[in-house]
Amino acid sequence: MLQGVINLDGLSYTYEGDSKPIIKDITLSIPNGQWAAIIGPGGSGKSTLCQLLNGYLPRSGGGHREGIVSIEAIDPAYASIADIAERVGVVFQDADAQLVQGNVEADVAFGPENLRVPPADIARRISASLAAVGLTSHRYARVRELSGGQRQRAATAAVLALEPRLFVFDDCAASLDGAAQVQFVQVCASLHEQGRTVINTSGRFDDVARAAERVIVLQGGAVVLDGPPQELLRKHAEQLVLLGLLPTPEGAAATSAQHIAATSAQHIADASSPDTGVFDTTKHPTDVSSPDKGASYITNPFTTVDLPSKEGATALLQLHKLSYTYPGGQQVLREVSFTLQPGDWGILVGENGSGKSTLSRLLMGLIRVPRHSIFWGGKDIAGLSVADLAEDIGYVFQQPEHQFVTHSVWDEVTYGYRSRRHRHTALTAQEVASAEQMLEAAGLLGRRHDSPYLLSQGEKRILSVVCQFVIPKKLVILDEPTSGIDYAAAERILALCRERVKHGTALLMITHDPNLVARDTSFVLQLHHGELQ
Amino acid sequence: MIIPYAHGQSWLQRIDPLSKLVLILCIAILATRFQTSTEQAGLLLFSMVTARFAAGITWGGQWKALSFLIVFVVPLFIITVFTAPGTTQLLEIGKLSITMEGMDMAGSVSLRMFTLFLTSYVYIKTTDPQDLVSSLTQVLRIPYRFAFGISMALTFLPLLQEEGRSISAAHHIRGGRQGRGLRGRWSWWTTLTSAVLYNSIRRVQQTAAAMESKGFGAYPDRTYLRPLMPVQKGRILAILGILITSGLLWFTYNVNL
Repeated sequence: MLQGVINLDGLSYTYEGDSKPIIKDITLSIPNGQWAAIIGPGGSGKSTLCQLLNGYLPRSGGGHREGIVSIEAIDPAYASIADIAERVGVVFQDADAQLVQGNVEADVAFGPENLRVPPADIARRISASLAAVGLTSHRYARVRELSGGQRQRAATAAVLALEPRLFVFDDCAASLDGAAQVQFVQVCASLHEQGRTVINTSGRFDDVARAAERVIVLQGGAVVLDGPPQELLRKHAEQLVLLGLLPTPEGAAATSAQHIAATSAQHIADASSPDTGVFDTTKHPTDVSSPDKGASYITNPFTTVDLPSKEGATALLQLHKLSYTYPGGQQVLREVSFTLQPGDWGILVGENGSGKSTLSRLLMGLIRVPRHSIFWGGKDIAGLSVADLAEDIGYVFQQPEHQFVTHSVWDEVTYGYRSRRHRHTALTAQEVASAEQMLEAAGLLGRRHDSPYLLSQGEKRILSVVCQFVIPKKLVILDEPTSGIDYAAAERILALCRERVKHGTALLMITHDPNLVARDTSFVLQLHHGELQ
Repeated sequence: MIIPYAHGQSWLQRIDPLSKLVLILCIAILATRFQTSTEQAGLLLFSMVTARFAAGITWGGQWKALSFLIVFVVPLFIITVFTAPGTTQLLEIGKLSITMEGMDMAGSVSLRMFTLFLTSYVYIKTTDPQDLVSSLTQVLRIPYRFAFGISMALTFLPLLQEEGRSISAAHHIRGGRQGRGLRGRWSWWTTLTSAVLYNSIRRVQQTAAAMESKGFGAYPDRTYLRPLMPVQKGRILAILGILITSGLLWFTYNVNL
């Protein structure tokens, strides 16, 4: 029988250089063996709390902590590394930073090796952990060959193999596909049944929170709700919607599957007959009739020049039997064909590792494009540079951090303007106003001087989208822009997208949240093992 | 240029890291000892043939790796040609003269650089950092924190190179272009370098935190999932290498002189 509890008493925490605490006077107790979900909107302090639980804050990350953190009677900020590692296993949001060995098996073995677990037992733990996250077939794979979701599963397996008494999963289901999310809930349930303490954090009242015994809601660094999930859903649904933890009733209503299926078939069919209709002017149905839906979170930020409207426009993008194999021999795409028209909003769905990100990187020219397979405005893009394509195409990275190129939010959002001229030339009044409006719409105007890296995950995502929307493009590719963020932040992003589409921009969005965007989309493309379904 | 370990089953990849290290040291000693271009050319030829047939590195791959050195080797060759002492004059350009001995010396130092670089390149290409750590800690009893420092560097540098590419791509996607002229290029590279450095520091901090949270450094020792590589073949090879090197050294001291 496991003993001990997690006790937080009057816990406050302030990051170095900040004047206001991000965690404010939290007092709570989690009994051993409990499965608790800590949820809250972006910036509510969830990740900070996770880092306080394993002692990274303030020991290594600095800052100022007040109050008591006690895990099985030890304070993680002052305990030895062995004491913490044997008690607490934390899976953080950024999988890349947690996989330190370069291949899956070695990374999963790394923790148990450090804790002097005998090799035979390590082998058993590796098999069990990889099976639990559905990654057995990738045991000997190199980490950089994995997709974003697969990396997150590998990072989870690495912590499962530690077999600690307390598991903390910091929003690590966000980038998983539907099946993997179900599997993740099962993993948590199984750990809970074994009597281990499980803490999940999330920006939404998701399936994990619904399955947990207890849900703790954070807002502004303080606990605002605490109780069994069904009770919170019954008694506080309105508050949860206002916090962005549940979708708005209108947001929950998705476009019918029939509409999506019909328009998707049309787009794929158009691309399958290159001799007659590669760049035909067929008008594709696009639902932009409800740009105001969900706009309660934003004001209209656009004062930019309109791109050509959809009427009479030619196809922007056509893929014709695109196949792609990585230099190592791994084939990820097989004869993918579809077209995209101005003002279209297509979504691309598929399981982790199905080739979605590879496809988007090919479209942006980030990896070498095979000849005669991708056409932009009738021209083969093979051989075109990223800079050339970037004149017309915007790209929002899966990891927002990969996109940041400056050291402040303001510099990020105005980078597009400044890159078009000498870097020291001042911005025009119109550019400043436009950038400020964008930041205001994103809810980031007050953080204009902050480093983009210090924003919460949701804020980073919305900044990465805003940066691509400041200067109008004909096509913007968004790689999982709503992953891991609360519904309010997601709605902000979608409202920005709707406005862009209304102004003639085509969007291609990779997502594991198809229901969030279903009512807006022109068509859905589903990739399965590199093939369009 | 950052060299990552290449997965494979070449002959050298099946030799344990420490035996290979002994072989590299043997070649390095010979490269330092040999003074003539002919000797250095022989050593380089031996290294290239070994790289081709024992490590599976194509001639093109070797050329690609060695061409990186040309920018350093050519100036060194020119300086040595004009400054090395010699009596057999080949050419006179004003006050500068080129001698046979100078040419020989310049060829020798240049070929030496190629040999030393190529053997290090082959070592990194054919040695899994994890096997290196296991050997250093379990055979040489080097503290694992130190050994992991080497391993992490070998694993991490290619990742940082990728990060650099990613940041460069991000600049292009965001509309940034390398300016023309020295000033433009300087501005582009300072912006890029600053972003890469910033990201590298962030990544190192995150990785250190992740390692610590997984118990790295918790105890003075640790276990290893991966068994040590078989050492029999490697030991025979290392002993052979030492004997041949000793023989050649004896030859150069007693016969060549």
